[in-house]
Amino acid sequence: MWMIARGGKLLIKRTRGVNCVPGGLVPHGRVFYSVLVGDELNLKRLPNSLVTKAESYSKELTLLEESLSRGETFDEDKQIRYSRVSAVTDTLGHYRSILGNIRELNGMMATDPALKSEAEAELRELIPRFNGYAERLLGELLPPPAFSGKPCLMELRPGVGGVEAMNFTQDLTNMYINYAHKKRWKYHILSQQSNESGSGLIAAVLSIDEPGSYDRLRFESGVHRVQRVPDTETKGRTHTSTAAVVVLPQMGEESAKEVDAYERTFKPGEIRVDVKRASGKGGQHVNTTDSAVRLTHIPSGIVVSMQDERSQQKNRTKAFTLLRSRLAEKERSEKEARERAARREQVTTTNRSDKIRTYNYPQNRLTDHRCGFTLHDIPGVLSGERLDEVINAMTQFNTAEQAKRLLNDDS
Amino acid sequence: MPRIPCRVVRRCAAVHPLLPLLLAECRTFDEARREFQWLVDGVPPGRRRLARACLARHRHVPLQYILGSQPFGPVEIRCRRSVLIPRWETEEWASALAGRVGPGRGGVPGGVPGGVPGGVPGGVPGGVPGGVPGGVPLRAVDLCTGTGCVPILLRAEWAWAAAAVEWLAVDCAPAAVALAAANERRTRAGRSVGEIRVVSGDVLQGPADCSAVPPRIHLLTCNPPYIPAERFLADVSVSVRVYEPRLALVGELHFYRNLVEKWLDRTDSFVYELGEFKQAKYVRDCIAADGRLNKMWSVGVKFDSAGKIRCVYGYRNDATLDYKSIYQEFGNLIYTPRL
Repeated sequence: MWMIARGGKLLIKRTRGVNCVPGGLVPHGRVFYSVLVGDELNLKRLPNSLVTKAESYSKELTLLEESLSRGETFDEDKQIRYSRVSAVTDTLGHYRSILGNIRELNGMMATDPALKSEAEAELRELIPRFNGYAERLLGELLPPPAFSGKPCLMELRPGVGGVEAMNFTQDLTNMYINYAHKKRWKYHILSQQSNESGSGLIAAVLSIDEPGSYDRLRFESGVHRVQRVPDTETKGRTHTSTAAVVVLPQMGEESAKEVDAYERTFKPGEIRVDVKRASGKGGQHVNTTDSAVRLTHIPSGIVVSMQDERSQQKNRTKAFTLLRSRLAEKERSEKEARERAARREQVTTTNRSDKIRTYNYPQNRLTDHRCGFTLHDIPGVLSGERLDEVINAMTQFNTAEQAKRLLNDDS
Repeated sequence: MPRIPCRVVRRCAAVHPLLPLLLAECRTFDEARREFQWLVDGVPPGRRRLARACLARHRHVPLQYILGSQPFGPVEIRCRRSVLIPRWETEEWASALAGRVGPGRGGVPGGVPGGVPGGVPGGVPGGVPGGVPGGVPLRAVDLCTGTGCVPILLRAEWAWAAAAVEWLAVDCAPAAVALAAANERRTRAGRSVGEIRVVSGDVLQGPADCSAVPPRIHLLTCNPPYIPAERFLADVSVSVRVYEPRLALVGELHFYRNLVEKWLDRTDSFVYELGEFKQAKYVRDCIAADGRLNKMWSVGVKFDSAGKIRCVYGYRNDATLDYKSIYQEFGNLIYTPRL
């Protein structure tokens, strides 16, 4: 049963052996129309290739079960694989049984118009359930993203637009803080530099300590554009400014004790630690309060400096946290770039353009350029209340993109 | 020192009316901003309190006396007037020393923290369980201790071995003894083990003067006054000269001569902070000239991360512990014993 909807019109190619077109030329055509438009159209069937893939999991499941039931050794990787595979098989079972039911009901309606209303009621109930399982199955088939269980660091910096960009950076920082509040996530401000007038930020690093927050917030990274009349504008013109957000996975728990261990995870000579030291006699002669630390990761050229704390050790810990996150993110994006290059001809990707989102104040409009999602409630988003809707849209878009890739890989 | 340009003062004043006051010590806008934040965070709330703190800073009162503390390695050391404020240079060499003698470092077989009940994991010098052969604990003595920062940092870094070290800190100033004892109690945080005994005593009189000094010292640390009196006005910054105790600052070779003459006989290894190469050279020359000492002692110097000479250290080559491997990368040797 294949259906293609174009511009709201329904074209039915073939329905259970009866050729029909909407408009009632065919017996029961009207009947089908009412049912199909309401429900069948919304049926999210997965392509056959994906179903075949899911089936291969159920074969693997029997093998895994066998080897695990022998219980000779406890293999953690195998256990993890097992739980994943069994989840896929389980969902596939539900998916199939509901699909079978739907088919049966359709057949019933085609043959016996007397049962039409009952079957219709049942279908209305079944179809959302079916869609739920289809989505779940898709989600389970996709590989889990890297660092998905990690807490994250968010770095915010103003882009073009001078003071207005700094103000906007402040607004964005507040938005993420509000969002963390709303979600009841623990967070702290790792470092923050205000501009001279104190109205905006030159740079801010937020640490969101909730495990899994990286997965939720990773699509926030990119250039955010704002269009509004700045407070400083006297002639009422709308300005366009930007702020850059970088979301990094946070690697491991950071404490003063562990920073030492981290230093040792780098090869000797890989990191250069510079501390800011005034010239002069030093020692008892002067009493400096300077505790700035700068780390240079020589192989990648990444430089991190930290000076907010009085304690040099704390600055060092923070700097190492940031450096490790940046390195992890760099590795991840390099890996992604390699994968992307491999299929450049086939797929458009999520982050080809850097400008990801526009906040248009005059229109009270927020548009995400990657997924085309638009929401008309800027205050709601900036207060963190409705940011979830934007993130959900982006997540869904990404899942769809990834599914497309998965399909391309299979074909 | 170059004068502060008007525009920097104006720039500071635009942010906060109190900010220009900090320029006297901080010199630049960024530094002043940072220090202002520390003051805001550290001073009890209230506009007048903050204003008083900024005024005090304008008069070059050390930030540590205003805020009452200085971070020192993993610990926070309380600071009070008439006791020298711990310097980052001291923190640096003390941390390096802690790293050398810690578990699994410097050729020392790695010990398991707290692995041996009542004894000491192999992390103690030479990897000898029980500290030193014969079940003797490691004995560490800090002279001219001031706030007590050096032994407190070492103890914090060796938390697992606290019970296996016998600590002693000596100072002649009553204010320092009281503050060191208070810092010691506060950083010990209720644990009964690893108490640092803080005693009053005149270091220059030698160990004979103080009955608390053990017969054998495995690690002798000291941050003696090392600024020559004639350089005091020229080299020392206003803040230090006016507000920090002269007793803890001015001295030339006294303590180094005192080290060789009075303390070396009881000591297996020592680390002394210093300000000039002359002082290290003096120690080396004294040891080299002594017919007995020159067969036992190795002497080295350590530079700080600003490239200034900062420590003179030495160890006995015939001691029970393998000090050679402990101090191997601590600094550069300038004298090895003639055999």
